[in-house]
Amino acid sequence: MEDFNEEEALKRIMEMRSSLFSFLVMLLPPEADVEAVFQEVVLGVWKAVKAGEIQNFEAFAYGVAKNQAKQCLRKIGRDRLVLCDGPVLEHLAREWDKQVGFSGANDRQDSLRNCIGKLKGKDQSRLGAYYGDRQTIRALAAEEDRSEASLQQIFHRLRVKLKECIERQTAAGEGELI
Amino acid sequence: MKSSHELMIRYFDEQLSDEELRELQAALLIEPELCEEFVAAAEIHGRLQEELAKGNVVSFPKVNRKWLPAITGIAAALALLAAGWWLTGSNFGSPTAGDRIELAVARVIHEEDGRWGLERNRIAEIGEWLMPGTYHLEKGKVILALDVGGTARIEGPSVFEIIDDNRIRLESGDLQARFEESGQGFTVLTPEGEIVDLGTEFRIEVGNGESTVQVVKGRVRATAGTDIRELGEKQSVAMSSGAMTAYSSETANPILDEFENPAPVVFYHWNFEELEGDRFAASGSNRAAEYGLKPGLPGRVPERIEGARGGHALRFLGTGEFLESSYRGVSGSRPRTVAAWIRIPRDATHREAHGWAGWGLQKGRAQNSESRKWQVSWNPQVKLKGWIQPLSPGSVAGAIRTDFGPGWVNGTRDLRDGTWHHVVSIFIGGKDADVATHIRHYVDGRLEHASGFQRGRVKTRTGEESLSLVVGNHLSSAQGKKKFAAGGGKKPKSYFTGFRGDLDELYIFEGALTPVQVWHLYKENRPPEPQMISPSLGEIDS
Repeated sequence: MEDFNEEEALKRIMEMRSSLFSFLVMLLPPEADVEAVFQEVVLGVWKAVKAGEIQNFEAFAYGVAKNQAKQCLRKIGRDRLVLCDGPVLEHLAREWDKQVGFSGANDRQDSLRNCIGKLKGKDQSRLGAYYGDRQTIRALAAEEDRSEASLQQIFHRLRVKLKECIERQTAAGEGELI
Repeated sequence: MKSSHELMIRYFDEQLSDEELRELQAALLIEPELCEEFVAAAEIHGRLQEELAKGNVVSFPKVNRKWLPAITGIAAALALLAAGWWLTGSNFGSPTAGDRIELAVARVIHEEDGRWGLERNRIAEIGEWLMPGTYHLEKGKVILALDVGGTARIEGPSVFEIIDDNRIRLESGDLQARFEESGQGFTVLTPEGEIVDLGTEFRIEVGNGESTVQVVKGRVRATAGTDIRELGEKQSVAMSSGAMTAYSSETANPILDEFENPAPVVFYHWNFEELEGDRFAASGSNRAAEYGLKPGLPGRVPERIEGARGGHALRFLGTGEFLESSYRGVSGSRPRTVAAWIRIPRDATHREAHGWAGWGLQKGRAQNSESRKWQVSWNPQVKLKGWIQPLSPGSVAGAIRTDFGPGWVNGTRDLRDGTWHHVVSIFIGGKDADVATHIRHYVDGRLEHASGFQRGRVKTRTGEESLSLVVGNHLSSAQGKKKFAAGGGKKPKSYFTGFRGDLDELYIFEGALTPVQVWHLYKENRPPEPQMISPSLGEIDS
């Protein structure tokens, strides 16, 4: 049983925020309110901390996140098909554990920040427009006079590049993009 | 049809149709590389949202401790649900999320005065398979072998629903479950909460608005409403109205291995330790002395190397050599289990896939609807000229494969990695048994889901014209080579060159092992007592 006070627990879940948030984004459909689900996760972990029932903090937090994602999926799933039904969710969660791990803090987010900084200016702008300004692929494609499919490919390649950069940074302390 | 990769890329940016979502679901379950790529992309997608979203500068929301206790958050436990085994309703295909065919997931291995109520309204039978659904055990007791690797004892009166291979809902009554390592994550739902196995044995009683949980050994995670607790050995809780309270109880007794079959099941074992002349001795049931394995081609004895479990194993070079025995194998639709340790080099080609063990009637060069054989190998995922079926597109090459004439089932894990694996093919038998729905594969003690299948009735022929046990080659190739060596026919032009890789500790049981028995065979190389193996239910057809 891990022994820590509430302040320490809050600090640890803050360190995990980006990882847990991304984990939820992976499991939930695009229209889900990930932030609201994340809040439920925080509350669940908080309650367990107060009851002194946590053996492995990170694994427990991920467990609560998975559980909250399931609840959210059950609600959404009443109206339409969701990608992450039971087996798919578990399958992806296992793969997440392999790639990212259910333990460890949030240094991958710091690595991502560095890696974004190493992208070409044009690509940084694209990411900013899509993730920051919430522009749609259709709008961005029209702006660039490209097909939506080709822009989706560009975003996919950017994600792959960033992932590789994070892995390199995590492994060697410093990463470079191609 | 869109490629699964394209669907994955689009998934992050647009709403896929239901059909596309189903296709992507199925692909994620059976294509490991796609799953890997999906998770990699999803991680970055999520982190970018977190990093770049406007208004997300403060990366952690304020948590107001005053309202924390007032909010109800968690309602279920941290269940690890095993991937379900889905099969399409067609005769041929890969698992998809549509047209789910429910498979039997548990087997009755013991009963004492057990009687199913309501629509079943009959006595529980040892050996019967339970499909997902609701069961009313009016009285008595049944012990179930659970496919994921556990044993459950249920005492009547009890009402329970088997949801899938990893979840049971106990509506009322008394259930005690014990799991091997392979079964961790099994979940029992009750009206009052949820209990997840973390490697343990536990007992649950449900009734009068309360669920009680006692841990006999190991640990469970129990959830009632917002209350989540990990319980250790000899701890007990009562769940009621969304809350949990600890209480002292008499510790439940462990489940006993009470199953006993009055007719011992025949089995044979070749460990390749004893070489008598050019014959590798068999052990096991009473005709073992007759069933040694000898070279199918004169003088072509596989080299002996260090074994998977100490001792010796055999190295096949994929150059046509094979072993044969006068053991005729298991006939008709009777249950059977083939188990062995195998090691396949990373560079093994599909021509070197067949086979580990096989017997029966082989007609034609390779796959043929008239063949009535039983053959276990790895999946070459190749369509040969003259084959009558198309390839199952989602099937994983290199995964365990069981063939029966027109039918086959492929596993999901590519075994060509140069390391030892324990492989088990179990046919559960029974009249009208179908290879696609009545087969279980286990790799390294764990249930292996199907990546592709072809339906077909199992009627293995072991009489005249049939081959007795062949080890290390495709039945068709072995048949041709034998005929040619005996001076008959043309020089055979076999596509499959014979198995290339190592093989050890081959067992053939004339019964279907339970998952727990598979686990012990894997971990300890210990076969179950013949009296403990499920009795024969199928029909003989020789």
